[in-house]
Amino acid sequence: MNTRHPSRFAVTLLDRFVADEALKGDLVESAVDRTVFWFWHQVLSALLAQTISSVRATPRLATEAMLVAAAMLALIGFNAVVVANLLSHMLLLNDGDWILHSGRYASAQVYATAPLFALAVLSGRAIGAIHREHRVWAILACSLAASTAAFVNYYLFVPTVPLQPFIPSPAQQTAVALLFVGGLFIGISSRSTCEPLPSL
Amino acid sequence: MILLSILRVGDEAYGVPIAREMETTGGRTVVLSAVYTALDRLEGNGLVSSSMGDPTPERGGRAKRFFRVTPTGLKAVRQTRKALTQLWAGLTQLEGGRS
Repeated sequence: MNTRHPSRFAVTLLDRFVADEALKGDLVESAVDRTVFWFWHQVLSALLAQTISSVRATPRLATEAMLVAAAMLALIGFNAVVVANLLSHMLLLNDGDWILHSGRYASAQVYATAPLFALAVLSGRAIGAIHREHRVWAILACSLAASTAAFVNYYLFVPTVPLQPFIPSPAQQTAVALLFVGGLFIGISSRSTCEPLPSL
Repeated sequence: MILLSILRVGDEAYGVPIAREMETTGGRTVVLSAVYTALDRLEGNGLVSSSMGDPTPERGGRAKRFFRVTPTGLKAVRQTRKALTQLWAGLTQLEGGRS
């Protein structure tokens, strides 16, 4: 399978994260008579090479960035799981009988991860559009999107909610929340106008 | 291998033809970013020099980076050939085999 036009998403990733213009041009030029697999392989390799050289060139900045990203991932993911559980328990207290029937699609959760991740990337891109001018709103939108995703996950995929502890299936829920927040970050990064890492 | 590929491609030696030359002669897929990493290192060591060309539409408006082997690089290639030739000489285990 050949590609006449390289994937826009792949080119966006290149433009956003790879500093070497000549390398980007070579990849775009080669995409015309190469397979999609070849192009993605090259793009992912270029991203990895850029990451390694950025870390080597600015180890302190890279370490700070990774720590902040990990902290945000953990905080927003934890927030999403807790908010979703609080919300469901509040609904139960207010005669929310429908939550009793949660988890009817529990067996299909693994199939929901791809669309959930895609939805997260799209949400992240929307948030990325307002990220620079309205950072507080962007953070709130992130939390709201992640909490909503966690709640929907809770209702669709976690069975018999009232019979379970306050946070049932914590590992599963946390994994889903982290996946969603990771997708949000990727979406924001693909569109945000934050200052890029220094060119090498 | 990269230095030889640049020499074989000639004046139009930029990333794409260099990688194609390596794929043709080496018989395996080449990762372009790895080629650039090696080229940057070779340029840092003074074995190659590079210059930017004009942006072209088929590359999304991005310029080509042309590479040339410097006299120091040529000297290194000759030394490597000499060393490899000496290493190959007299290897009886490799004589008469299919590959």
